[in-house]
Order: sequence, then C-alpha cells, then structure tokens
Amino acid sequence: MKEIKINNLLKTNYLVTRDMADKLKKYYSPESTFDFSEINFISAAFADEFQRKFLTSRVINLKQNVKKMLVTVSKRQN
Amino acid sequence: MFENELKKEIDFLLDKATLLEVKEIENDLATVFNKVTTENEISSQIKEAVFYILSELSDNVKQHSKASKSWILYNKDKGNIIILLADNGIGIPAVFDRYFPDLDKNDLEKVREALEKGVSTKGEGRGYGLRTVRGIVEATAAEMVFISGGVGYKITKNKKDPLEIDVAGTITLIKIPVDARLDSSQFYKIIEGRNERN
Repeated sequence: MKEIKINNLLKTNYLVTRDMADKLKKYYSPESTFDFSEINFISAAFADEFQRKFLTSRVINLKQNVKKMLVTVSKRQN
Repeated sequence: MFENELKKEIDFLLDKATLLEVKEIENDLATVFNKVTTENEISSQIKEAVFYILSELSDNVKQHSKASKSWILYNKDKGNIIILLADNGIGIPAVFDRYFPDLDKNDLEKVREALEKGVSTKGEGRGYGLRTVRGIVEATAAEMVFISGGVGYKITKNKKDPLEIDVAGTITLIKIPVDARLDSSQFYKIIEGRNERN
C-alpha cells in the first residue's frame, strides 16, 4: 500500500482549487491511500475534483470538516 | 451616484490589495488562510465560510477567467471582515458568449444566472461556486458586490440591486460582520443547495 501524504506533495495545509486535485494524479496508483492528516481545509472545488478523479481511493486521517466537505459535495443539488 | 461612490471604494481597496500571479494563487491563499486562522474575534464557522468564499472565487479565476493577474485583500474594518478578489480576465458575460452563443440574455441576466442558478461550462455537477457564495452572504447578513464585465449586483439578505460600473474583469467585494454567526448545519445545507428559494 502506498500512502500519499498530501500536504507534503502540495506544500500546504489548505486544498483550495481543482488544479491541486489534478496535481495529485501523477503520484497516484490504484494501490494508493491518501493521507489527509495535516490538511486543515478543503474547498468544495477541490473535494469535487478529488472525488471525480479518485472515486474509489482510500482516504485516511480526515479532520471532521474535511470529511464533512467531501460528503456534502457528493450530495449537492441542482 | 451610489455607483460612483462604490467605484471609489473599489479603487481604494484595489490599491491596498496584493497583486498575484493567477498560476500561483494557491500560495497566496495559504498566507491569507493562516492570517484568518489566528483571528480571535471571528467564530470558527465564519472562518470556514471565509475559506470557502476565497477558495471558490479563486478557483473560478483559475478555471474560467483567462486572467493573468488577480488581486486579493483580506482585512477588517469598521466591524466587518472585508474580502476582495479581482481579476483582469474576460468576465462572465464573455464566458457565456463563448459557451452558450445562442443564449438570448443580456449581460446582466448572464451574471444573474451565474449567481442564482449556477452555471457549468464543463458538464454536470459543477458551477455551484457563486450560488453558494451568495447563499453564505445572505445567511450571515453580509453584503456582496459582484461585478463582471462591467455589470453586476449589490446583494444583501433581502435585496439585489443591479449595478453598472466601468471596471475590467471580475470583482467580488464582500463585507461580513465580524460578529456574524453561521451554524455548521446551515453552512453545509447552503453548499448542498438545500437552502435555495429560487
């Protein structure tokens, strides 16, 4: 199992744009697990793009607000 | 008259704002977020809302504006949190013209559609950013001025006044009362789109 510690790769604790999710692609493999342990905030834009790109991936160490944003974005309504 | 005063205020704030390269907007946002995090008089949910607003507006700049430069300001003044984000891009009406050339709406109606319904140029399940920012503004008794391609609105909880101001690109100016409250469930309802009345 390969753990991707996101803050080390993106050099920040705040994940704000779709481009940031896009940048994670080059580190990803189907065995990857994304470690959010140092992440303080994710935007809806990042959350949406992350879930589009890494739909079935494992995520670990989510802070409550990060988890909530991922869940909320998946429930958005038109 | 009101629009002249607003133009002066925007010019004043733009002078104080940080100019940044759009491609590096994430780095500058992190600096602002660190500053917001240390604020003692702002509730944690309002901080999260400020992060949300700046993130969505910045992502729009990167995704749609074709801007090379952006200006960002986070400040507190006269009991309000001041957020300004501006860019030198093409503006929402031009984005509509490019992606929806057959749409029979004037520029103000195009901006209104982006603010109220959410518009996506990249497929299903996108384009909620501005709609959600407007929802947060209304829920926190804040005030928002949004101008894109020279037209836009001043938005408060119960009012939406059209504006026509000769400024380039897109400018968002938001004033949130420092003592505003927003509970967590309400915040996530807004993001989900469950607060909508339009």
